[in-house]
Amino acid sequence: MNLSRMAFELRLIFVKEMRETLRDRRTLLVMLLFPLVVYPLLALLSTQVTAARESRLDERPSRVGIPAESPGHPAYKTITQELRTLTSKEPKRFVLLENAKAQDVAQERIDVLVKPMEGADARLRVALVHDSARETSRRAEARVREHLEGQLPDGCVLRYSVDGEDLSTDEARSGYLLSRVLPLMVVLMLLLGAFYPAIDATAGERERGTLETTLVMPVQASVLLLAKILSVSVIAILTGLANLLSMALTFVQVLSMADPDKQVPIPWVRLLLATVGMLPSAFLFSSLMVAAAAIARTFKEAQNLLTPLYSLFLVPSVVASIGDYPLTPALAFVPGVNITLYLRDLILADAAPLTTLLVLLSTALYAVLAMRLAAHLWNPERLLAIRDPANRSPVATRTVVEATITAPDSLLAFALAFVIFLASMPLQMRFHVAGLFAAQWLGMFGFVFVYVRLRGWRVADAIGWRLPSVGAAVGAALMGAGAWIVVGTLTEVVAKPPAEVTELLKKLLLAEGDRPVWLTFLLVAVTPAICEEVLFRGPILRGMAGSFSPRVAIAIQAAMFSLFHLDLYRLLPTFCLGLMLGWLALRSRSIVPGMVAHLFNNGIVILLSAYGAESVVEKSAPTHQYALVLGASALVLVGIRTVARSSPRRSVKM
Amino acid sequence: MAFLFLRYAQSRVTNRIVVLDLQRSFGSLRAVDGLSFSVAAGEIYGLLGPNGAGKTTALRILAGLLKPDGGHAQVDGLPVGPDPIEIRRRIGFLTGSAGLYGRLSARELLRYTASLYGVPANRIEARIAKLSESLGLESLLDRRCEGLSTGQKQRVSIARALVHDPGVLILDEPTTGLDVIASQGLRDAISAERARGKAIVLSTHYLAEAELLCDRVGFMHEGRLIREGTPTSLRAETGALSLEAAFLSAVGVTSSLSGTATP
Repeated sequence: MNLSRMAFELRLIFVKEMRETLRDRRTLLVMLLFPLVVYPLLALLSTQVTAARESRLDERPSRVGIPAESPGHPAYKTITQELRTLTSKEPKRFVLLENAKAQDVAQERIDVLVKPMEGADARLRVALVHDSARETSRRAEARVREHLEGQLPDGCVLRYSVDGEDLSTDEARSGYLLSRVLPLMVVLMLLLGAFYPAIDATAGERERGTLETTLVMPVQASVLLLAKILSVSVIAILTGLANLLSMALTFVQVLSMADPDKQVPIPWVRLLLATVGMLPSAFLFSSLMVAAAAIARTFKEAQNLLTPLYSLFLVPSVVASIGDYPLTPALAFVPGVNITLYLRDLILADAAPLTTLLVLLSTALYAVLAMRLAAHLWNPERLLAIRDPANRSPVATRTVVEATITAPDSLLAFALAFVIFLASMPLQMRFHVAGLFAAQWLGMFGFVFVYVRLRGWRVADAIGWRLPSVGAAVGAALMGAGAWIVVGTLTEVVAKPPAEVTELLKKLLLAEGDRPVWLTFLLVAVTPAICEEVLFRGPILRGMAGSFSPRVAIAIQAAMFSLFHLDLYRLLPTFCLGLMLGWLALRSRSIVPGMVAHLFNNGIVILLSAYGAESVVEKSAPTHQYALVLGASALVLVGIRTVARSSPRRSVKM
Repeated sequence: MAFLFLRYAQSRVTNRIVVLDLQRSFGSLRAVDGLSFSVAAGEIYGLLGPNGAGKTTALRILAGLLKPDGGHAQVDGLPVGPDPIEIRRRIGFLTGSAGLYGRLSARELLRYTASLYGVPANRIEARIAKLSESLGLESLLDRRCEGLSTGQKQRVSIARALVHDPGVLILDEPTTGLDVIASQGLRDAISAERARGKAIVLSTHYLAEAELLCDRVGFMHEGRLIREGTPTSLRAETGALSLEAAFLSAVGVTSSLSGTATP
């Protein structure tokens, strides 16, 4: 097929999709309601609230403090004298507190401290110590400054100067605040902007009964999907842009209302840069959402499916916008986080060219991958096999009815378990052993049982509880015994963690030697082998396998498994381990072999480090290491063969 | 088997649609199980059968939506499988659920479809005008599809299927949900296309409709063709009074309607 024909089709479908999307009320609502109504409304409300507070503050006297001992400078006496007369003359505006210290400002006992400073010249320098994050303090500072500067008699030589000394931290400054709120809002709006159009373009087609018409058009799936994704991206970008503009204008408006003398320019160049930064992210979010929504049967199901995806980007983005993380090259590769930090740096005008490039390129790369996934999922065989509310054909129905657990169930299980795990973090930190046990037995094992029960599935089906063949168990043990060396070596080669990380991990594993080895073994080998298997190779893997081919299901599940460990350097090893364990569970059609392999993998590492044997591996000559890796690989391969032989190939039935 | 292939080779010359020993399973379910039939130009062939007989699956294979597990199928001289896009370009496909993009107007929809199917830009308007005249769409053209009645929708839908003037029409239960008058209108439109020399295959479980419309019918049951012939010959063969009775007799269900003994 020639390129010009493809371009023609792409344009044609894109225009049609845009037309359809823009005629959908829901999309317009999200796209325009927020920026056009909500921000100005919020700004209006907040200025009103501020005005009300101002008038209230006006009625309150400012508490002015002066230090106990005054230095010898004659001018200072004049000032204190002036302040004393002032407070007695205007008790409604000023209250004077003597013997005050700078801490009193911080602890909110006074609003401003008038402190003399030793100047280099004969002039007296006075510092007005205040906390600009505190409204009353800012106001007091302004009043005192105004008074002292204004009270200077005409023709007098200025004998002192007033310095504002700000106790507030940088974080409390409003400009900084904007740099935190705005990126998050943009990410949020991009996600929100893509949300409905993505569902509308995919699951919506099924619901409206146009899916078959669309599928039967003489167009390649990739062209069709690209057109759909582009139109979703355009809507997302328009939404993001509308928000960005509205927020910037509102902010400028509020600033100039607060201070009419100061001209606040609209930062056009940065807005433009922010727009450019948005493009790849919009494309990425749109591709992922289209891919996810393509496998849903109904609008509702697509919503359930996209919501975890939405949080998957939003939560890191929230974290990134709260924490004060620098945008390192490594973080530039983390989707969601990278765009948030990049936009922040852009607003603060310190976005480095290298990280800018990395953010844009990595996001574009992920976007292309996500688009390929979407095109892969958008295939008539798949789409027509998915049970269809409008499709009466019992043929299509019967094929999927067996798989009661599907991808949305899997995502939900993951999301819930992840939240529970995060919530239990403080517990794990505080009560080391008990916390870890609780997090795993209650947060994973117990959770799975509650979840499975609530969803009305049979526990044995949902986690694959079946006795495996002896061969599968033996093979799994061999795989587990070899895997740790192979995976460990792979990590060393690909992404070697810094020594501190390794040390920390070891410390965590062994808890400074005061914990008996059997307890560590129970905690880090036996417990995860049961609990993590039940969760990840249970509903999570089985749900994915209900919606995808076994390979895709195993890969997704492994990615979740590695994400769950919340460790950048262990991403790759845990992913590999996840692949192996996922394969074991599906191939042997039982959860037990995975448990065995997991136990061997973790157990060997623990026993080796407990008895200091792992240093032998590290310090041995390279040739020995090669031999070791080769031997371990052979062990894994023999294990795989044993499992494969003892389990009939015929079908992975969920 | 050799005989079958001979017949296949022969029928390729005259027939626009050729299906030979087609197989397709979903898991353990054999949806299409050795189906063979052919449709000539200027002929309407009806696939008849109850829900789940495999009609939709067979038609979807012909439209390049599903891949066959085995057997051969040919549409408009092209084998099904290697180039589904080209096959789709040569067929007009229609389902019972009209499948119109509701937020587009009928005119926008027809323009879009015509461009996508490669109708030259300068001929699109003329084509739409001609179709709307023969199908009585003039007053509907600028209304959004979602606001149309079921019968109107199906008329726009058949215009959509015909807009690129394909040689082969594949209609999956085209009259589902239509009232008597709308069904008649649709049948007239389909007959008109037959007169223009198109090969048409349609599926239905309304036997009366097949009798009114089809030149030949095939009874489908559990993925297989159990009888084939003209409506008249089938009636004669089974000794039944109606096609309905003939069908029931063919699938081996005794019915008080048929009045004949079943084998």
